[in-house]
Amino acid sequence: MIEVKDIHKQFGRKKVLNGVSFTIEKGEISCLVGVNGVGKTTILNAIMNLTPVKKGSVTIDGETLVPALYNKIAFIPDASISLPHFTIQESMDFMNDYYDTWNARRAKDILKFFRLNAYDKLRDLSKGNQAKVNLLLGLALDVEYILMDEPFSGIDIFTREQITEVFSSYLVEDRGVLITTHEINDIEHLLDKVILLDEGKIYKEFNAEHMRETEGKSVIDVMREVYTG
Amino acid sequence: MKQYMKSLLNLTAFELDRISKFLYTLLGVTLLLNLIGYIYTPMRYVGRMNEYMQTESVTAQQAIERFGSFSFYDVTSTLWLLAPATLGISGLLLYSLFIWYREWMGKNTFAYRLLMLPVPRMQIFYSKLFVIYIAIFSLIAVQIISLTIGFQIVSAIVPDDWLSGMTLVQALNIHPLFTVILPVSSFYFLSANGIGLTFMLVLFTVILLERSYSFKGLGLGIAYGVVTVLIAAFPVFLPDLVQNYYFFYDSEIMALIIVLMTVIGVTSLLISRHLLNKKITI
Repeated sequence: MIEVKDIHKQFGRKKVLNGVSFTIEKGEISCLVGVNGVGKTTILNAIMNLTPVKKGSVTIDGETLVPALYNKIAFIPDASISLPHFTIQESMDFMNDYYDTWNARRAKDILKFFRLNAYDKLRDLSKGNQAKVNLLLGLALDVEYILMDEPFSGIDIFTREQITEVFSSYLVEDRGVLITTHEINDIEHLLDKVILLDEGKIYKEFNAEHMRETEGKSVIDVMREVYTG
Repeated sequence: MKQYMKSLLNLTAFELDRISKFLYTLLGVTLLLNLIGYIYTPMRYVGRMNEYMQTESVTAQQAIERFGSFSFYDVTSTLWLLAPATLGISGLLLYSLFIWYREWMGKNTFAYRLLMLPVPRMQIFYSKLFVIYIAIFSLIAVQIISLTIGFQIVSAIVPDDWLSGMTLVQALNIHPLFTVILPVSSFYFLSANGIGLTFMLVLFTVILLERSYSFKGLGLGIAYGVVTVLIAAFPVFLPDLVQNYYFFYDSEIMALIIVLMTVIGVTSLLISRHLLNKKITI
């Protein structure tokens, strides 16, 4: 379980996170929702120890994140994080060199699924294909938790469908997944938990399916109530 | 330990691969400009001597009295050798900044990948430091090979009678730059490397302070840099400060400098480790 406990973060004088707490369980797809600048990416960065927090703690299965735990949790950010002059193959080889959890067979499967050419250089790929490579490099790790920041950002509808298919496939099965996205429609049906952020705090946390069944509201409906009014 | 060394070697090899084009260019430019210097400088001397002997109808001895005999120092003091050496030093200095900042530059933020590797983050620090040092020693090695070959070229171009008889080592020993950057004098060479290593550790710490605290970090970094320079230079001014009470031998001053530089180096390593583990920001 990922446990985020009372984290506070400030950029200059602006308080971005003001006591955020939640948990992510294995086998659960959760989504962090909020308008721009509400601190979604900051939370993911804080979980991955990529930005320090002023107060609070993050634990992964009860342990504070140390480098060895990067074999347990993967982060797929909203930017290409491999070297642009690398081919996809070189990027995969790089991962293989450092991660005990790199699953070459799964990488090959995802490569095939996305119809990518392993010998294409990353800098020559379209934004959509770069996002696919990012997903590939994250999903091919046999980790227990995956964090994804805006996996649909700037991506065409067909690529989105492919990525959504990945979410519903064995590739994220049994893993704890935390996604941030504005394109909630594409994955709403897959979500177990929705965490709504507002003014640096968790405004609401609910089960998407339960909300639909009991109150007849979609995630977008709930967001509209919170952010517009 | 084996795993630690393996990932450190992997990272160092990876960084080495990234610097390779830049390093090969520096090495190529050094060799090319040196070669021009080894040929052009003695040929110009020989040409001037011949022209003088012909136009003035004088003997070689009289021409030598006019122009002086030729030594290898006349080559090493030209821009053909000084410029690439200076270029190498300044190039690697700039690369020491670039080696960190490139990870955050552009759309492809490779810093994400590096910081999420399942290896101690100080390995990133060490691999970058090692690569800078591999580049420095590669340049030194190529410069030594180049000078050795150059000496032979110059000896082949200039007639023996016109040569001063100065050896390669003698020429380098009196050279203001090469005597420091090349292992001609072990004292100067070790001093330069000790200062260089401490400088690199401080520079990396300043960069990490900036990467951790942004503008505030830059201010802190500059302050840290100034303080370390003052501390390192303190023993030099110490004899003047206490001249009425105590006399310092040169060896005592040197020992004090070594101790203070070691303290600065270790402090920089500890600060860098803390920043990389706890404060660095994407």
